Amino acid sequence: MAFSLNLRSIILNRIIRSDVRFGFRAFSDAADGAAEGEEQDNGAAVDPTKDRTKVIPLETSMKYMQSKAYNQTYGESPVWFLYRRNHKGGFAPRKTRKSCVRNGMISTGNPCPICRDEYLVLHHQNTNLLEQFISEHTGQVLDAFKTGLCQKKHKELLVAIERAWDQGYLTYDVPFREYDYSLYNKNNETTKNKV
Amino acid sequence: MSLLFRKPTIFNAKNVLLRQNDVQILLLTSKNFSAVPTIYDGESDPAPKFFSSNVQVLLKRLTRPDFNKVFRKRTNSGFPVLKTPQYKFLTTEQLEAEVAKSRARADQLLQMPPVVKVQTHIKEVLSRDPALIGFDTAKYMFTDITLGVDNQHRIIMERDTDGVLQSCDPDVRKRLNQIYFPIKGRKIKEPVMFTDPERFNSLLDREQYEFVLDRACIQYEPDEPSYQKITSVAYQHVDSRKNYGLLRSTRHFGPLTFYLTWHLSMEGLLLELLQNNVIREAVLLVALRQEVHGDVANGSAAQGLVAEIMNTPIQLSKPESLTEEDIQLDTKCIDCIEQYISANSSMKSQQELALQGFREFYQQLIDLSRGVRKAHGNA
Ligand SMILES: [Zn+2]
Repeated sequence: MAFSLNLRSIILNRIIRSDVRFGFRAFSDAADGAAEGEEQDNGAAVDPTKDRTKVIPLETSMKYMQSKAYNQTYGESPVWFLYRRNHKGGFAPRKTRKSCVRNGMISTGNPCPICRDEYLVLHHQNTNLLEQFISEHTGQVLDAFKTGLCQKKHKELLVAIERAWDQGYLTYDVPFREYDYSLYNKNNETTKNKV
Repeated sequence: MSLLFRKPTIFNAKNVLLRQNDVQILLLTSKNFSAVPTIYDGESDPAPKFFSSNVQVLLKRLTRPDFNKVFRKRTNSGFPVLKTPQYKFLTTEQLEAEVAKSRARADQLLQMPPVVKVQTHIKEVLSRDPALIGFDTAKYMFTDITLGVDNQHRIIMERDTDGVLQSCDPDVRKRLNQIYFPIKGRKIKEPVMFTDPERFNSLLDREQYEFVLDRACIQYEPDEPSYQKITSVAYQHVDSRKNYGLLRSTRHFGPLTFYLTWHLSMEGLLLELLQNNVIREAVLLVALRQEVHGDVANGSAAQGLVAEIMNTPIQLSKPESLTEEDIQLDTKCIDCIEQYISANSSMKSQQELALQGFREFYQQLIDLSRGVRKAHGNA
């Protein structure tokens, strides 16, 4: 009797706790400390390679881009170069998945090139990373279909690149502007139609 | 001429702080560079000088167009897919026609952004209607969107809340023009790289001059104060670092040269030309100064040489052999430059040294080509 009571209380406890946890996380991706602590209470071990709750500072990421470890992993090619999407059938769906990270954890077995490496931070100052997503032939941002980025990271990438262009961290070929000299060369103008 | 201009020197921190109040947007300081932005204001207008055919010819020649650089691979076509190149067999006439076509295209790509006096805005009041006071809490803007009218002459008026119908500020005009007739690449909001001195400075330190100037051309009109401030700082940076080569064969080299000549600070450029053994372009630069200011001692001699130099092909690399005419022309050029240095230059010792270096190099070249001709037996 005592044993079954004990078991019931444990089960009840679990249900309530898990309820609380889901309530917590349904609205936020980044799990905070309390939820994390609870998880460890439950005994479910967090796989450190899948945990994406830690925010990597930009400086670390920029240093990483220059490091030997990075070179060993990716070599000279862009970070998305060797990535392959998993899909059924011969043709990949046009859209990539919405996000690789749910509840602060990697939720897929084949996370996208940015999500799989936590040290790749999309930021407008991280030009070494952003450059890899711009076509050297057309100067436009590569499609997620080609790079395999999840929709969420692709959107972040677009924002970061637009910021970098605006602030001059990335340069590009500016459209050519042809001047009409007759507008500026006032002395030469004989018929000046003033309005 | 603007009195604001100062040669790039090292200010101390106090000075910089004092000056920062005077200059609105940009005062750039870094470890070894600081420049005071200038605009073409004051009595004299640079436009008649800049657009005069003599000056245009000189500036275009000084640009020294190298087709490899003019037609470099660009990514600004805006097409998501590139065009496939075509390979053709051509007869000599067809080839010449194609070359002429690409020359015309290069001329088009090298069109210099106009150098004009800064704009002055006069507020023109069309009517005052006191009956409209309090009609609305917002201004009304009226834009004439007839096609075929250029942005400068388009009628754009504002009806103020106090009933005054008047012409509007230049930046409001610019914004409305951009809304109705967008220029490709121009942003309604100024890019942060121009408004934030730190970002702008870092671009200059990375020597991205062409990008900065190209973007300034798109974002601003040539007669806007901000355009002239931005370009003047970029030009001074180029001058202080002697990075003339980066702007050569781009459309910005002409305005750069004009800017330096206008402010009588083209000695650095002259020195660079002498050090790179392009004596003919040095003469052209002297002639340009004579055209713009008319204060060169032997100015007419330099101007006389211009016609002769124009007939010779552009020197993109070091000459390998010289004909007797070349030697005669270059000797005249050396004399001309020597007189200029002794009479007008403010950087005498360095330029004399460079000229001496050129003389020695040239003597070797003369000996070599005469020797070669002798060996071939037709001297
Ligand atoms: Zn992802």
